[in-house]
Amino acid sequence: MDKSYKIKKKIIDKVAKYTISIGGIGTIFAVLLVFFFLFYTVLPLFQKGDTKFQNKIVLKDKINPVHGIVDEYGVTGVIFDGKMIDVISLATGEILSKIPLDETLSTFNYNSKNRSYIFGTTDGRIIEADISFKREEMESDLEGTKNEDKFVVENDYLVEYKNGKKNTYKIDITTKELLKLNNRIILVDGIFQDRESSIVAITDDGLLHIIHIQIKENILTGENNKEIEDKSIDLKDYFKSGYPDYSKINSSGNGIFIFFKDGRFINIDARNLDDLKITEDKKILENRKITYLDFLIGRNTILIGDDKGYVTTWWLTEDKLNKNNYIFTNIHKFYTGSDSDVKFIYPSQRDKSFAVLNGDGIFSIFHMTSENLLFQSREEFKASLILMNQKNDKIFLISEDRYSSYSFNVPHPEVSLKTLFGRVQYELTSKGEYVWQSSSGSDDFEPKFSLIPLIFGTIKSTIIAMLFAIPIAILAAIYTSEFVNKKYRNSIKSTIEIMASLPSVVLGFLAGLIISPLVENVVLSLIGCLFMVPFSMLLLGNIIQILPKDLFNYLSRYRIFMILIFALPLGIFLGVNLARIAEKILFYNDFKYWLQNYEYSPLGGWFIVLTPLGLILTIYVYRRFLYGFYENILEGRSYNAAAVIEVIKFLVLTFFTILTTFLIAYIITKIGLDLRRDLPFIERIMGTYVQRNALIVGFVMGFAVIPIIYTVSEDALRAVPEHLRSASLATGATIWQTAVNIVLPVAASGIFSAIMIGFGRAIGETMIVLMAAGNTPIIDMNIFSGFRTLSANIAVELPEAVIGSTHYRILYLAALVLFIMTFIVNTIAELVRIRYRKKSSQL
Amino acid sequence: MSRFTRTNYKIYFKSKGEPMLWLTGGGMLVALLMIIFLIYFIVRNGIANFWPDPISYFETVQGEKFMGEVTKRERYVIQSSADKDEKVYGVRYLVRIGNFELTNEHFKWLKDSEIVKESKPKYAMVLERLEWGRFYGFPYKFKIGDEVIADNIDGILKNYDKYHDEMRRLWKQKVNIEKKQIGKLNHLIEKERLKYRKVELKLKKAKLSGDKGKISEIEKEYLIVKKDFERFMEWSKKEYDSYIDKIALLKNKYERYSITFKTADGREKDVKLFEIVRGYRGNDLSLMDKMGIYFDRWVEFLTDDPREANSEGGVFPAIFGTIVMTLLMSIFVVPFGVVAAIYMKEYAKSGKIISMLRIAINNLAGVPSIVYGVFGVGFFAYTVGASIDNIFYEAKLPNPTFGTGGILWASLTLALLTLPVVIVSTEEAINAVPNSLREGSYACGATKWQTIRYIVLPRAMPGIMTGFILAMSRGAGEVAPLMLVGAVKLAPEMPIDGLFPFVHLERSFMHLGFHIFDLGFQSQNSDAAIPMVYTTTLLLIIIVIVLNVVAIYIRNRLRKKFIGSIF
Repeated sequence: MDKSYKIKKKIIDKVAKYTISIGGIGTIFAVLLVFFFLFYTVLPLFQKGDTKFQNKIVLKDKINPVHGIVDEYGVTGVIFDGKMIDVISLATGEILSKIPLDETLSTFNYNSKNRSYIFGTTDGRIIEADISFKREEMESDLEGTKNEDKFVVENDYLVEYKNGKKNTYKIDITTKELLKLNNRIILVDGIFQDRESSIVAITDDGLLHIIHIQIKENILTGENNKEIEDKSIDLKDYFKSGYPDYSKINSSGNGIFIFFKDGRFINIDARNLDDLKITEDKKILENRKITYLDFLIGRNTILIGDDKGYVTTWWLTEDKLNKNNYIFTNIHKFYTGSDSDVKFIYPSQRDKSFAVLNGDGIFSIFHMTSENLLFQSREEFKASLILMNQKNDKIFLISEDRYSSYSFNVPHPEVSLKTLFGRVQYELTSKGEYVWQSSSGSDDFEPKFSLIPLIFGTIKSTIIAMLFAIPIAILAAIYTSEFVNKKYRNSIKSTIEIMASLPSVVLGFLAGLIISPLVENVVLSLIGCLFMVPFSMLLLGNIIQILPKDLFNYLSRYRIFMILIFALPLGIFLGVNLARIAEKILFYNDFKYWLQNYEYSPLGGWFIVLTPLGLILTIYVYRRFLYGFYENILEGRSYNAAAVIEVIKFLVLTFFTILTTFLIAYIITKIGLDLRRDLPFIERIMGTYVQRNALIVGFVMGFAVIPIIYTVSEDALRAVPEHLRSASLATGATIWQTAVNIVLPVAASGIFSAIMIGFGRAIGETMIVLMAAGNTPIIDMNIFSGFRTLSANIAVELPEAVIGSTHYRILYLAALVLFIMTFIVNTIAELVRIRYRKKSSQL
Repeated sequence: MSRFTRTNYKIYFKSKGEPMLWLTGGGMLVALLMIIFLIYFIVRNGIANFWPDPISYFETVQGEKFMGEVTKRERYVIQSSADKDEKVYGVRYLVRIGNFELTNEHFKWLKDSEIVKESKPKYAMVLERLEWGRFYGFPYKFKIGDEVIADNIDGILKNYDKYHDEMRRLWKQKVNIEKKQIGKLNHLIEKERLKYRKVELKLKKAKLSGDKGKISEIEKEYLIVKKDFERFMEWSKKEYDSYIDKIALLKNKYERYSITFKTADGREKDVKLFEIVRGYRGNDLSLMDKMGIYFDRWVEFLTDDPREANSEGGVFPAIFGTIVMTLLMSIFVVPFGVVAAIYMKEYAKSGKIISMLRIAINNLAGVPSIVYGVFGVGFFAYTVGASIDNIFYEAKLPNPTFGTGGILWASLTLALLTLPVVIVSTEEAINAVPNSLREGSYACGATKWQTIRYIVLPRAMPGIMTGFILAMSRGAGEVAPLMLVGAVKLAPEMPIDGLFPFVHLERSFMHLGFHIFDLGFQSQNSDAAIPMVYTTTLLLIIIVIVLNVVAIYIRNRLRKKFIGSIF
């Protein structure tokens, strides 16, 4: 042979080997890649983020910081010092201007939503100061600038040169007098909207004023008319020990909170301005003193800092005794790191987090809902304010003569394992809940990302689907593999296999648009058929035994046709008619109305639900106690007599099943349990009927997984070695006995793995659920309610999620959860299958 | 002996298990019946959809008069109360009344008890139009411009037959100009714009870096390109205007021809001739006419673009998208699947790698398809695609090119999804090649690769083909991942067209499965959409089932062929 050919041959061989190996191992990597990519996308959710010290700048003038605000970019700020407002360039440390306010200020409050201060004066005036930050962008000449970014102060404005642009930062402060009262103002607070505002003020005559200002436009003249409505309530008796230290009005203007430094709290219900009520007067802090207090973003939650270093959060929760009443309740408690007093709290303007500074100079950023500590550190100089910019990416600690800044970057503060998988008490709710609500129309909405309702929906639909699919698929597999003529076996199998390739979108369309409106009118008949079709099959199977032996043996060849012609129609007939009778007797003539009307007795519902239990009980009792009796009766009977006795036995057992079920249902009803509400743990099993519900999804999804379970378990049954069957038949066992006692036990693990594969498929099914489940993310055991699964949720929300956002990453987490769920199920199936293969190869 | 048989009846029936056999047999029967019924149901509804229905004219108790096609008839409960045992049922019809611009509804429920008069007028016409859905009415006048040409039925119909095709042709010419020629022009403009933008970006970068020499160099280039671009824009404007003129000319011609119709309640309505896609007198059709309309509708369905938010017209773009996507997917999945299977069966030595591979493949097979979609959009589109954009399509940013869902990413995602199908069936086929053949080949001095190439692979071909076809059928039917990686409701451009580079892998596409979902669940006029959903479903099922049957057929045939060659 040619030598060069030989070499060529070898080279080609080697190349092929390596290429193929790389390709082969590549597939393992493909799986790993899927997993790691999901994991990699999810991971940042749980990372702490990084927060770094940036710089420390000494102010060129001394100030006396009491409160302050920083602009969106964190380059300029205003500091209120009790008498005047200082405008500071945080980029350079210069004080740009000082704006003097009225000399007679007696109190102030800050409203973060409008970025305005509200002041009260000693002579009874209420003044609002609006602060607005502006950035003017100018394209500066491309030629002149180089890659040099800098801040300079020009004409009392801070100017930034960046990327060839010139940005000027301007701060406008406009003050206006809102109204005037007759007495010195002790405390004042207000909420401002476009045309309406509410102001609450306490004056030194012991009155609490609630002033409602409405600006009405005259349609004819276009002039604005200011309407002022002043309501007041006398609180002199409450102020005997001194005037309060804080007063706040919540976002809706219907709750007014008054606090005293020693921990006393007064709650005023202002839902009806003409009937102001004092609903609570209590001590909310024991042995602790309030040192600072503010609203969280949205003005619903009060953050109270005390002298022992704790910040507690409070909001109004529903009174359990009187639903119309609200109680000021403590929800969370945060420790600021040392026992020193809380000096300042700055609520973030972006989410439900807040920054706290305490007397030891320890400052911390917490997120309220997730209770995450986002960052904690200590500043050595004695800072008196902690401020953050609007974007939440800079922290400033400000003292009299210097300030330091930190870059703050925690991209997903609202996420913790607890918010994803645990009960979370969201703002203004009275108890912890599992909620999925990713978006909403309102501004200060907090997204709620609990995966539990989605996981619940996934499991709910899977279980119902499997309850429906497993019996049919396995019965069908047993019959095809053991009792069908070989000639037809393959075509039956291929027909069912074609079903497996049917796109699930087709099933989803049918389920959502055709089946669900149809079923809505015949729910009870459908449930009736579920019970009566198998029953009629068993019944006719018994009755046919009465026929003469030869005829019976001859007929059993045409069993399938007899089932088709007699048993199935009989079952449907019985199902529909029994359902009609049951509806009349047990469900007060209208099943769907019965589902919602708790005055009706739950007996009928219990009867449906408990039938399987009754059946199991009857079979158990029969096997355990009555079997000997039954054998005795049969002793020495002729063929025909024995057949009749079989039928009677079947009917008696049926009767007993019904009786047992009825008894149990009756007892449970008498105990007072109602399956439509207030069950322990599961709340309810049935309830209001929704057109697209779990039962329908269960049916259709069962339909989708039947072919898979069927095919794999039929394969497993077929794989049982033929010699086992032959041996069993040779010893005189019937085909049925062989099937049940020999074939089934050998193939059991294969069937189990078939079920697991079906399970995995049902967990991840998307289109059917998306189109037929109504997609409401609720936790409800009611089989007639809608739900949302992990997969449908991804399909609905991922196209709208912003890349890299918390929502986006949580949807990836949902995918990861699905991946892991199916990974576990598939691996179990695979392990069982390997064991099964080993076992059957030994036989 | 007789005693023996007699006592045996004690367990005779139990051992025969007849009732249980009925139950298991029933299980099989139910599974089979459900499948048969489902397919029958879809086929029946899908096929019947295009058959022209007669037009019924109704007068109601309330004095309303309307006309339309009865699409559904159902029983409903008139009253049911807890006191009375009997429920009273009535019959109601769903009538497609069309004339949306006049009535503001496409469909109307009509109770049996409300009907005073019902007839099937001979001259009533159904029009399928470009806009506003169907129209039902009596022809009244035929007009060219404002001039009435005919005002009797026969004259109108004669003129309709005379001018309709011509007007449609002119209209199609106009659409052609809009779509093809102006489309091409837009394509050119975009190309030139990108060229210009690229230099602009380059200049900006250079300026930031501050390298004087480089700046002046690029500036020169910039000025040239800018001039070119301006000149081009001038030219394109002229070109565009000339197209507009052409269109205006055509419009002038075809918009003059119209028919005035009278609706059932006597209102008059002008319908332009070119707007009528298809018009016929529903109650005056011979069987042949009906067949003609039926097949014409099928042809339209298979070859035309959708109209009316997809609820009318054809699904050609969806068919085309499905085919292109599936073929692309096959190009990716088949080589990889086959290579992986060969590796497992012929190369991998250690048992550990094999079992790891097996677990990997089984998990790939079991992972929900939506997870692939999530992976596909995150990895392919947002990671790989975004990087491609950054490197090659910077000028187009922030509009993504590859950095969003598209046909390439969709087919790659589905390739990953169908990989196990190909691997498993190839593996099976390789397994079936007897070892004696391999040994014979080695004995002749062939290398491993030669043995695989000339002995194993040819015999495994049926298995590979089966895997290939099964993968295609899976790919054609899968929707969930496509929703995330690029299937859209209405794709403005096809993934393959006559403009360079002909195959546009970055484009989004339409898909039959997604079309079903979208039509059934996102459509505003869902009553009108449902028949189309049935037909689309039928089409999809036919594609999938045919692919499956072909796969099974090839498998069986080739299996038989090769069984003979084993020695």
